[in-house]
Amino acid sequence: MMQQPVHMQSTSPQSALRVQGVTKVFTTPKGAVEALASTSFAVGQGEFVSIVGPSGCGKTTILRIIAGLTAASQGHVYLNGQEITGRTGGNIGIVFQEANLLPWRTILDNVALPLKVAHMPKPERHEQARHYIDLVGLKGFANRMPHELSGGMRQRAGIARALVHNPALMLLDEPFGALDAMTRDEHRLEFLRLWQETNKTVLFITHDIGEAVFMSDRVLVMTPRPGRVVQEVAIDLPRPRHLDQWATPAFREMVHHIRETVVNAARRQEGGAALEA
Amino acid sequence: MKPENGLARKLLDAALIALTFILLVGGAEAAIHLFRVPRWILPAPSQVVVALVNNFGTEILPNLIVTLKEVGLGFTIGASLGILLAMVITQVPILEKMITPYILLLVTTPMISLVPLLMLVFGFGITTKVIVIALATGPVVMMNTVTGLQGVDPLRLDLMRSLHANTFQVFWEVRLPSALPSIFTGLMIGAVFSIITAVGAEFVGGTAGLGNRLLFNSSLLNTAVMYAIILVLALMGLSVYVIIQFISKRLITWK
Repeated sequence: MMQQPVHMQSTSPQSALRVQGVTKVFTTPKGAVEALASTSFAVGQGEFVSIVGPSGCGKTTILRIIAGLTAASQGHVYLNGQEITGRTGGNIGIVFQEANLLPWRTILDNVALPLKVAHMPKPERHEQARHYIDLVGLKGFANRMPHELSGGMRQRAGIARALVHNPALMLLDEPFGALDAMTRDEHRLEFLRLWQETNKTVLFITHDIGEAVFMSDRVLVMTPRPGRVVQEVAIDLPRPRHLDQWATPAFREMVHHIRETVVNAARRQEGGAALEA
Repeated sequence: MKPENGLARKLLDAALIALTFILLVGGAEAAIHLFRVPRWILPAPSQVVVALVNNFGTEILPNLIVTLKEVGLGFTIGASLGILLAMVITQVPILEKMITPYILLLVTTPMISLVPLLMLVFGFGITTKVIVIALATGPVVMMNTVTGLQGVDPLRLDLMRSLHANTFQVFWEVRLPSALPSIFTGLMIGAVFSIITAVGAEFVGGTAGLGNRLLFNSSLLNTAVMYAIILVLALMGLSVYVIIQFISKRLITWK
């Protein structure tokens, strides 16, 4: 069930995303703060990998570095073999915490935005956007404004927008955190269905250990101060996943193990801090 | 009794406003006749209406057109320059640092104080007034536009950057729409400033415009005509407000 990093890489011989020795140091008025210690990992083609960890562990920082929104202090990021470090050069689709739609655009125009930015003519980009709007279950809502939709429906549109330009990598930053529990379950299942239909490579960020286990092929466990990946856990639950799996002993054991890892790391760090003081 | 739909509510609101109007105007009319207030101190509403009708074509309308022309030109020039300058300086941060203190000075200086100076150079005609109105409007529109352009949700900028959008696309898709509410706030304040400045500038010098007519009728103790002119100015301000509000509601449909 649990495997060590060396073994891991053999399961993904064709890496879509490779993060190599990436660090991040923020300079603040009180001095340098190491947000991210040297971090390396890879995500295979079509693989679903989650990063899980408490808030402040640098998981959003790593996502921003991959997306080119924040510069890494050191290290390299490769997407399909090409270095994209420090540039927004990668063909990436991001799903934000809350849908982050443009309130002045219809759902159709919001979903078509990545294609518009890439100068695709209107009829074609609308046709393509409609396809993805249907795919995420928003058929009939294309001409609505975002404020006319529920939070869950807005996030569906956000997912359609992240898919519409056929990105090489999807980054999701706690995409279901703002939804109520029942809607969240529904969205998780639906996103897994979409993932399997579209064959995307996914890096999924969450602080919800259960969610990470339920969704992923592999979970990277991060701890804070400085943020680093302390363990990789392979999730060998059969797919397609269904909600009943949450109650199985194997599932619960994995969740328990990851929680222990995070808690122990935090304890070690507190101990270390106490010794320093 | 509770109104059941929007229309009933609107009718009720309108009826209340009309009732207030009738009470106020009727009360003033009655009180002024009852206490025999001299008409050069306070004319009765009916006398103001008579003055308005009698002087509308000959005196009020031609001068209203002059004032409107000054306000229209000055406001348009000032607001356009203000918005344009705001767009430029938000793209060039160093320019913003250099200019902002001076713009603040322009906002806080009463522009009417420049009128006597400008008259020395540009004369008593419309040019002086248009310049002063533009100076009164531009900085306040600019300040509000800058605030709007800078107050963009950073997540929306992240989205555009992750899509490799260029500067123009970021501006057109995200910055400008985000700034629209602020821009309209600026335009609203700017429009009010324009009218105040126009009337003030006409007080200082010149031979036409509603401000000029106010002074003229004051010297003749034509109080009823003065009230008629003030009424017209009030309606003019209200119309400008309604027009800008209308355009703003049309453009900003998502709020």
